[in-house]
Amino acid sequence: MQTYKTFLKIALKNIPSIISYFIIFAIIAIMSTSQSEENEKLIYQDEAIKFTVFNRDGSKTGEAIKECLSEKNKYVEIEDNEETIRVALYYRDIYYAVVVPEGFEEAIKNGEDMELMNYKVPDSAMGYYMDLTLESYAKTLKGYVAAGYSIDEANDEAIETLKNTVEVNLLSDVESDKTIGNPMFGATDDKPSIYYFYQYVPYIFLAIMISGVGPIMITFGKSDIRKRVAVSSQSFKSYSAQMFLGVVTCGLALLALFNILAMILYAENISFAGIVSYVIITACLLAVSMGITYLGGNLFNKTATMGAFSNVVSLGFSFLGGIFVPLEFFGATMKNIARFTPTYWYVRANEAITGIKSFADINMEEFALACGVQLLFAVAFFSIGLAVSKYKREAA
Amino acid sequence: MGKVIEIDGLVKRYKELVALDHFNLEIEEGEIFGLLGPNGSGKSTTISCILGLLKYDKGEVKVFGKPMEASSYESKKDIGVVLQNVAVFDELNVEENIDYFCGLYITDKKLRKQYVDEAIEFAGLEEFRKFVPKKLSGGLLRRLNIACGIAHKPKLIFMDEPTVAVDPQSRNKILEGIVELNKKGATIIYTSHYMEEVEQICSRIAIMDQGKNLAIGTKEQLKDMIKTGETIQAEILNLSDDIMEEVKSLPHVYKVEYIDNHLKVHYTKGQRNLVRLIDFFKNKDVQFGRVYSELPTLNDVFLEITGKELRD
Ligand SMILES: Nc1ncnc2c1ncn2[C@@H]1O[C@H](COP(=O)(O)OP(=O)(O)OP(=O)(O)O)[C@@H](O)[C@H]1O
Ligand SMILES: [Mg+2]
Repeated sequence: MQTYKTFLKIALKNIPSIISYFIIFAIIAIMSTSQSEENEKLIYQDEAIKFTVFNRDGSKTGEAIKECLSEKNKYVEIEDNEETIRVALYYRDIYYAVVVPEGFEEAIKNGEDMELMNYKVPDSAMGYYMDLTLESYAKTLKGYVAAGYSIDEANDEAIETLKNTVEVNLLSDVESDKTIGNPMFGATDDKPSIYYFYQYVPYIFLAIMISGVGPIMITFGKSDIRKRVAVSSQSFKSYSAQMFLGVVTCGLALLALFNILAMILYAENISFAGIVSYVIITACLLAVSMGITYLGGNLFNKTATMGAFSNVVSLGFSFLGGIFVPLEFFGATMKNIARFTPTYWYVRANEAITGIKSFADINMEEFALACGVQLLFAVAFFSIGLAVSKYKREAA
Repeated sequence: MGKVIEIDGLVKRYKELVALDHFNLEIEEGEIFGLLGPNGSGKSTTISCILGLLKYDKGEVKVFGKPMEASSYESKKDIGVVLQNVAVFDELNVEENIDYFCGLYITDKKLRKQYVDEAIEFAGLEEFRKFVPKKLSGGLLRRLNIACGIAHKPKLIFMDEPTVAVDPQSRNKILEGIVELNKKGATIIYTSHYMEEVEQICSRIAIMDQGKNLAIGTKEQLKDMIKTGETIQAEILNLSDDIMEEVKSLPHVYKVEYIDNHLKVHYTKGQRNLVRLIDFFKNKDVQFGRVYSELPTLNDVFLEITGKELRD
């Protein structure tokens, strides 16, 4: 077991080089947790946004907009004067001022494009929410007019339509606004903190396995050292098996470390079924990470290249797979690309088990699919790695 | 004493290039056998083929009387290898490196500890036990490389140019160590393109070029194979052609050259050549400066066999 022991010895010596990843992980996890708390307050507050409307058009449509927004928010009367508006915004007397420009209703009637104008507190969630509401309103209104409704009927219908959707929009809109401001730590709904903890685990598993364990594989795989082993009385099979065991041991240590950490941190919020499921999804993820590490170990001869590979893979898969940026904010193309990353399936698995109290709560079909696809990825990476190693040995 | 290595008609090709061309060799137990040849002559290839690291195209290789295969673990137990390139773990220190490679052969912990200590002492690395390879000088690194290959006390040791890029002091230490290993009973196969080293320590030598074994024997036997027995050089200003002719007719002389005021007289064999030549100069009133006699070197042997210098 000389090779196995030495493998672990080198792994222990490599720990300082991977500590930085733990720090990054801790920062991301803490930030996302505190961010999620902050936003919960924000959403609560958002219930009534103070706003005003300047109906410069003097039209019915201007009044309808006021009515529509007043459904959920608080209308504040303010003088239509640049200075007054600024002051009001500054002291948060209002968060948003809609300007219905002159000729707006005429333009709608004629099917022309004319934008509503606004003043708002910059970069605020409320501002973004109001933008969206107005945009929806304008679209709906244009839709009804185009469908042959009179402007008054169209306004009534639009108000009705928006009334029914505002409720739904509220959560998701505010959510997306926050994500636009800070996409790294997005998507807060009612998900518990442990969800975010496990959300970022793929980044750390990939980074640590590839940059921490990969170089050891490269070291043992150096042709000069392999020659020494080949001429020794230890069989090459045993040597490879011990190396594999070394990789698995490091992986299991990582798996245990993160799952135990999660159990300690979220002891109160985690059920037995939760623990088991989290161990399963992280084990699948570990298999993927080991597969990629094995592939990298065979592809590259230099530890420095392995470091670069680690960055590309861990960051790349984390972004593409929806670890850092929630998938809701991806376009259709990006979502399709995401399917080809193992991390995407990990996220789905993580979502499938969020907040479960018992095994019965798990959407088994989804869970099995998400885990299964990850295992397929692992097998694929291992197979490519094996092919590369065979090719290299034959070329030598 | 038995034959430790028998190579018969070994052929190794790298695509078009014939690296070993019907190479034959037999090595007896207890020898320090030198494989001498210029760069690219096939020394490393020979060793790789013997050890089964390379597949060869034709021929037969036996080690300890048995064919050598990847699974010849019994034979491999008694073999130590120091390859041309330093092969150690950058992450491990001197002691850990030796322990790792020794551990591939020796599983008993106590015995291994003793062997590792002995190897460290042998290589003179006592003060550097905890040093990682990056902190070692080139010479020390080579010594570590050797220690890793011989710590398990093998009976047959291959050393492929272990002194390349090592300063003279370290080199002598390494050479002394090799002789010591041999005295303790190890058979050693030593490759080099430094003829002085080979001449200094090897009991028998094979001269290689272009994958062929050109000559084999003790250094005396090799030198006897060539015509030149002694070369005498003398500094003489303006030597006349008449005198040149007369020198040529002296006993045992087979060739005379005069270049840059240097007279170079090649003798086949014979004794008292130097005294006779100086007497001749005195008789003829030839003024001469420094005169010196050289016995043939392996370079002369190589030169005469191949028509080119061993080192360019
Ligand atoms: N892997 C290889 N592929 C192709 N040609 C090779 C390979 N290894 C060695 N050769 C060629 O085979 C010949 C013999 O090489 P070898 O390394 O055995 O020489 P050597 O005597 O050990 O030289 P040196 O003193 O430089 O170590 C050389 O011409 C070399 O270029
Ligand atoms: Mg060589």
